[in-house]
Amino acid sequence: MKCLVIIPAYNEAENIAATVDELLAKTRSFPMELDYLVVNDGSSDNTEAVLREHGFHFITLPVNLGIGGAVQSGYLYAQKNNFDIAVQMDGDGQHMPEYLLDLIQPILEGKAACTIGSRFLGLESFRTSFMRRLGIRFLNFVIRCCTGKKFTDATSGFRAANRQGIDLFVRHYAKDFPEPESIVRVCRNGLSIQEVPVKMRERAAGNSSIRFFQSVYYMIKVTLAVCLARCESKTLMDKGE
Amino acid sequence: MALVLQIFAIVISVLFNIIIFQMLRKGRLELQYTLLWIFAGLAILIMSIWPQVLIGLASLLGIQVPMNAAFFLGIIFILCMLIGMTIIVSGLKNKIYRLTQVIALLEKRIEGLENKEKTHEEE
Repeated sequence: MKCLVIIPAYNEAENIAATVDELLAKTRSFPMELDYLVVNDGSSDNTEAVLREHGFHFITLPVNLGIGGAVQSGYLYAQKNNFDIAVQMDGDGQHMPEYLLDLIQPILEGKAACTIGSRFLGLESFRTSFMRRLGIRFLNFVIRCCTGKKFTDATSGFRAANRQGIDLFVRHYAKDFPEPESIVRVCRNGLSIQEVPVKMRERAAGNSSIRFFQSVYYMIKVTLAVCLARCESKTLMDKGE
Repeated sequence: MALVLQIFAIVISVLFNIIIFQMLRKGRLELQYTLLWIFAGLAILIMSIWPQVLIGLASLLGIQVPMNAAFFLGIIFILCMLIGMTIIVSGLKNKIYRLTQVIALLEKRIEGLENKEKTHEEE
């Protein structure tokens, strides 16, 4: 069994070394073959230089595609190299590799095709801003309307997928704000998805790519996108792009 | 507004909205670029069902004939959409240029590797 950890990185020169080092350190005794791929999303800082210097496994996208395109590149790599499980992890060190095994456990047990690491399932975490929490709760509500299932952390980028999930995401992965939308897509394609409690950290350095002024646009767009994913035509689902 | 015209307007705007929705469902339209079209479609639908909205807007802008207001606002909207499209196309052009350049450089690297392989085999 092979597992790939996809680490999208856009201008993460400050954090990426620490993130990958921590991943390698905390997965020394991982019960299966584990590899990782940093997807350098056309960074304009010296992220690539840092990656080369440390000899990390990475690809550099010649053009910036955004989080959706970058992560999808990772899924494409996973598919072409026959990985059984693909995990998404942020490049800024917010996600904690200690929970990697917990995250893929339901997949290993065959209970789910995809899993999401949720901050809000009881494990103590840092508190996000009130606005952010409100937004997340609203999204959870919209997703519940579209899938009939309850999710607590729809925006979490700490996720895992089995081969079916990988194939689905290679065919379809939203270009912007993909996390909530992909939940609906997974359900619509008849795959099981489950949340796993994890802890996350505050961003170590640099800026989060979603700033306050973009929030309103984000909420409208994501809500529409989630609803659209719910209504996606059958031919699109089968064919892909 | 004459009844025939209103019915015609409603039918057209309903069709317009349906077409947009179907294109979105089939993935032929990207949601990100279609948001304004959705807004326009809804606005047209609302104004054809309730012409008072258009009449109200016209008097607010000081336009005597309400239909002129429809033309005026319609033209402004189309100009905005076109400028938006031009910006998007410009961005895409830059991306295509960069991809072309990277592909050319990759070709050179591959040729270099193939030649290296050949000379190793010959040795």
